[in-house]
Amino acid sequence: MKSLAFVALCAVATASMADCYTKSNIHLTRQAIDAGPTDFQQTVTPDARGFKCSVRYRVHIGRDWQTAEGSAVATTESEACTRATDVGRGQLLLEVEPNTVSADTELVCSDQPEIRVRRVHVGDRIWESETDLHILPAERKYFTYKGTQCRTFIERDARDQNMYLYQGIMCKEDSRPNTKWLVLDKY
Amino acid sequence: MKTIAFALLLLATAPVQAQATYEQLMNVKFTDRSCSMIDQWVTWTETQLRLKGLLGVDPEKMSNEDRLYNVRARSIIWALRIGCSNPDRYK
Repeated sequence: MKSLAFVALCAVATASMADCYTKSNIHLTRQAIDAGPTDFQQTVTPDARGFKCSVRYRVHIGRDWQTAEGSAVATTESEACTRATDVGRGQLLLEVEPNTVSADTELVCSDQPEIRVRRVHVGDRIWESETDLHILPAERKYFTYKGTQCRTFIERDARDQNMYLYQGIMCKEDSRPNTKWLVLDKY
Repeated sequence: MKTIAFALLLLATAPVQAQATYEQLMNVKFTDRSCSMIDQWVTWTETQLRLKGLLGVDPEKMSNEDRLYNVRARSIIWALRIGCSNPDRYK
């Protein structure tokens, strides 16, 4: 009885932590993407044909970062994930809106941390898409500082009936493809 | 030419530690040649921030006047760091 209660508690805890989206029928095209793909989070599961890899990542389209997902099956894990990472296989994920969920809605849930634009501070280790791109396209390009890849970002802060706009600098922690970024400055 | 002379004057007076005004910071301009003195420029600009008590302060806690001063000073520092390490960026 005790173990049943424990399992039920775990299931509730897991469900409440999971971050769910509905899978849209919007397929990505490279032309529409301003920045990214970045911040890859992959899940690999065994499959009858080998391995199934689902990769969730972020792309900047228009004015916002959006979450997309691609999946692929292959005989090896690395092959499956390489294919899943191909933007051409990606579909945008939409936030769940309770009024629009119907019986045939495909929900995509994950226990991996949800990535959103948020307020950051100097010294924070963050995902790239936790900050907004600079307003000026010329300032969005990556640059090198002390041998690491860096970029500027902006942060909007609506407070006391004013809109404050901060600019910041963040740099990749190392050259591996999916590492976090360190906030070096914000002003 | 005037701005370069002004910039050199600012650097020359740096040891005196007279705090630069916001207007003076706004008049600071750089050329490719400024990169040879990047360390001195960064130190000087950080000194201005330190004198004003703004080094290491969260910008969200600054007054409007300090925020503008801080933005200008840090923009100088990062324009030098980015421009000197990435000479083709702004071409």
